[in-house]
Amino acid sequence: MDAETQVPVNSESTETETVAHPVASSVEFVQEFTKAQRRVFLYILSLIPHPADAEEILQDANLIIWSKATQFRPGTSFIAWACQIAYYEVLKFRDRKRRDKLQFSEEFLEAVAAEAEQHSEQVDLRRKVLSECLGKLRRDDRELVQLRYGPEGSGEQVASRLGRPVNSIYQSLGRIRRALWDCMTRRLTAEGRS
Amino acid sequence: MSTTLPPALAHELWQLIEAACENRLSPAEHARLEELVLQQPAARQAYVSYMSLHGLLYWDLACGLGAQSAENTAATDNLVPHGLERDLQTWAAAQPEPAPRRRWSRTQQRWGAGLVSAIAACLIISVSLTSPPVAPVLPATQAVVQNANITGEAPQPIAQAAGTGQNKRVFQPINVAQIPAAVPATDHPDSTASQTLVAAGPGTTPPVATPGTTGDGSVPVLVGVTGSQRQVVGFINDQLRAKWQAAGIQPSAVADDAEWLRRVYLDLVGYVPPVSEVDRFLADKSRDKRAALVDRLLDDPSYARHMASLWGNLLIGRSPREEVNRPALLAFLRHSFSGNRPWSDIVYDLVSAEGRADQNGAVNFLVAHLNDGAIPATAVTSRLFLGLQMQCVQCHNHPFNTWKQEQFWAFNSFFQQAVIVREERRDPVSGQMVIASVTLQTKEIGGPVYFETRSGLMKVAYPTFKGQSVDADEKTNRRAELAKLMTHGETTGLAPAFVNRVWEHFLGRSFTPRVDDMGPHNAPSHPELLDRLSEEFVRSGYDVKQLMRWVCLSDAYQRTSRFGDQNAVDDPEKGEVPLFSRVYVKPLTAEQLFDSLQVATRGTWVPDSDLVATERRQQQWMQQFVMSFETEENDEASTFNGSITQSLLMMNGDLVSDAVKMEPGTWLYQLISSRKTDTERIQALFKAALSRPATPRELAQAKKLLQSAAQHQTSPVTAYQDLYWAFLNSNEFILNH
Repeated sequence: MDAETQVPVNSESTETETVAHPVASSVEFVQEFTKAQRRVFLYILSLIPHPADAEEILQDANLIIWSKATQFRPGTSFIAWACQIAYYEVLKFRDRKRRDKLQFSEEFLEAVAAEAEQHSEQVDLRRKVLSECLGKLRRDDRELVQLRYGPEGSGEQVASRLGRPVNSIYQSLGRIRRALWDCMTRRLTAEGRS
Repeated sequence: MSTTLPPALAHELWQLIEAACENRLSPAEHARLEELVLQQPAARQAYVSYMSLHGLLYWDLACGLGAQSAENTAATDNLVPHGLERDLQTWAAAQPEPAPRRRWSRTQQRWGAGLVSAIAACLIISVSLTSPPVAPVLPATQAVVQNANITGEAPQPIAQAAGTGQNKRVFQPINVAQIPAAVPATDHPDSTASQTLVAAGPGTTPPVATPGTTGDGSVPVLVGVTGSQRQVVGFINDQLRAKWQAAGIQPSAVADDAEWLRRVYLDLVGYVPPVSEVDRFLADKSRDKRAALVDRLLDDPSYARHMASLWGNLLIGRSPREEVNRPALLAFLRHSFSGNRPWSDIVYDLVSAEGRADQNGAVNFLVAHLNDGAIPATAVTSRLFLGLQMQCVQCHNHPFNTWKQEQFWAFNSFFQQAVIVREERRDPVSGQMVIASVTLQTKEIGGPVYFETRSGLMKVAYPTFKGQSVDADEKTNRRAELAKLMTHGETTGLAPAFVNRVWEHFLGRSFTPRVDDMGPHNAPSHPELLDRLSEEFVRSGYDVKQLMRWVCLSDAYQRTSRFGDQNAVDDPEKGEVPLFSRVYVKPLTAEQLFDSLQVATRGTWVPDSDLVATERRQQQWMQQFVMSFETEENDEASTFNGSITQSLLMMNGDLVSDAVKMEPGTWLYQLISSRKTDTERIQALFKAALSRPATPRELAQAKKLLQSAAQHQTSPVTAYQDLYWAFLNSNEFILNH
């Protein structure tokens, strides 16, 4: 049964499904692709600071990455290639949302994109460090982080769940994130020295 | 990193970045953040690294699944095994007392009951996103959700279905498909639906300025409205706006495309949009796409079918009766609606029809109501076509208005010549006499009808409609005269009654508290609007599609059904006069539900070549809900009203279990056996059942569910079946919002 054509998402994804060339199916490409997901997400998030939007853009970018798999040259930087595609998707997203969202200027995007791409090389290390820093948090704080970033957590929902004023939640979250950031910065500096 | 920033600046920067993380930047702050980041390299570094912290937390906690499937595929990668979520959970588990708030991890541990409660959690979220605080069938909602919680047995039949031989066959592709781990979700680039919800955050109202909305608050659809249409639609909009202003309220936001699409499908063709249509419409970038869709649906054969089914129920009820030929009546109605015959012509035929019930479908309306001295015929004709509840006037003068008992009988006397002639024949098999044909004839009878007043006085009444009498001799065809009086001239009441009904059909409430009780005792909420629409309807030559177009293109119909910030008072459920500042939620009719479940099962609308057979099957299904009574109006009672009966039939009935069946030919089977990622499948499930993409949060939840299933060696197929089952039983599915 030709079920794949049953749920056409749009032209791009139909294209995606019918792609069957050697590069896309190669283990290497799949691994690169998978490994890049987090980094590309962080890259996008620095340009559009709303996680849900960033996720959506990532998904759009994934469609393109997948459909252009043949154009990727093994041996070159997958991340750089993927970030470039993501950058265009960010611009497309901004076009669509011009009316209803606050937007950073293109000048801002260019400056931050360069910084973010550089930054993304450290992501795996940062992740390890963040994990350690999370371990150092007080239990309450850790729980708050988990609630906020869990599947049901906007600041407001967390507030109503805990029966606390929403502003106090924002304050706590700010304090905790700042503590995490400080912790990470200290450790990363230390690692850099050693 | 920020050490090179002056302390005051650093402090300001932190505040701004923090606000950005929580999506709380004001425009001024937004500009200031941009300025700082652009001017100060240190600020830029700080911003990027802070966003990376924010993103890591989000990615690894909210989308922990993405991270973990990455681990599966790249297990050799020594950089990956730091699953933050796992770390957090490990720490949490190490705590002496499990914190009661950590609901999610507990759900994961208690898989057995957890699946169902997680589904319920999904449902509650969907429901809270789409239903207004007080939905008409709220009791049913609770029944459904509660049942979903307690019926531990519910998933079992599904599991059995999946446990059949096909299981292996369908399971295989899933593993293959999972290789490209986090491949493209089907979140559409233009899915304004999820974007709007996301932007606003759960629990808040989406921003009023939906894409396509022009700054002055007018609505995108007006782009496609031209000429005289524009005047009428403009008038509707002005009238409603004036009431909003007078009441000091702001209307709800414009409904996103997904919400509107589902609504207009249910209203015009009677079923939910197929997935392909959801994708197509959300991707469509043209500004007049709503107007274009209304035109397309009005020309769809399903439109005529849907209208025929609605009017069929109004005209003869849902219970079958031996002499009434429902298929013939439905065929008459389908032809009438598909050819867009003027409403006045349709009514003329229904009132004046003569002939055999199987040859002239229109006669079946009166065949159904001529019992009991044509009292039901009198009452139903006046109620359906004129919006007048006359049935109580047959015995006494109306307590609240000027209708007199005579008027009922004067109206009744128009039906005195109508007689039903039955031809019988002997059935060769059983030897019994059976009805061979039923014919509605006009017998040449003259003179008045007689009736008794409450004081026991016998009186007579001659055929009179709205003060116009017709000759009472036997040569006058009284029904033809009545039909003429009802459908000619401008003040017959035919137009306002139909306008009121159409308005209710689309907006969820009529101008009067009851759609068919329009007398002076029930002042309409928007008298000028009702008058003008009625005038225009008459002027258009009772053009039904045109009237529907006006209503469908009105500002009010574009609004979301959810309450906005400033229209909480607009709640007719609480007895308030409707202001139409939002579209009121309607429960699906039994027919809409039946057809929608067909779409959910097949994935697309399959126009049945044998309409009669389909309608018969639908009838049979409907019988479960209907009881009929021979009263002065031939009433029916339906349990299809959000009752427990309905819930149980939904949850345990054939239709839903067909839809989640894992066998060739079902849409779900195709979905599961196609090469897709989990994300794509979940998105497709949302679109098939709820006509919208999943929000990122729902997506994450659904993935958790699948992951839990995997952890407990449950087949992902079963998990998908459970998800679909839950969606089809959700409030969001059984309501038209």
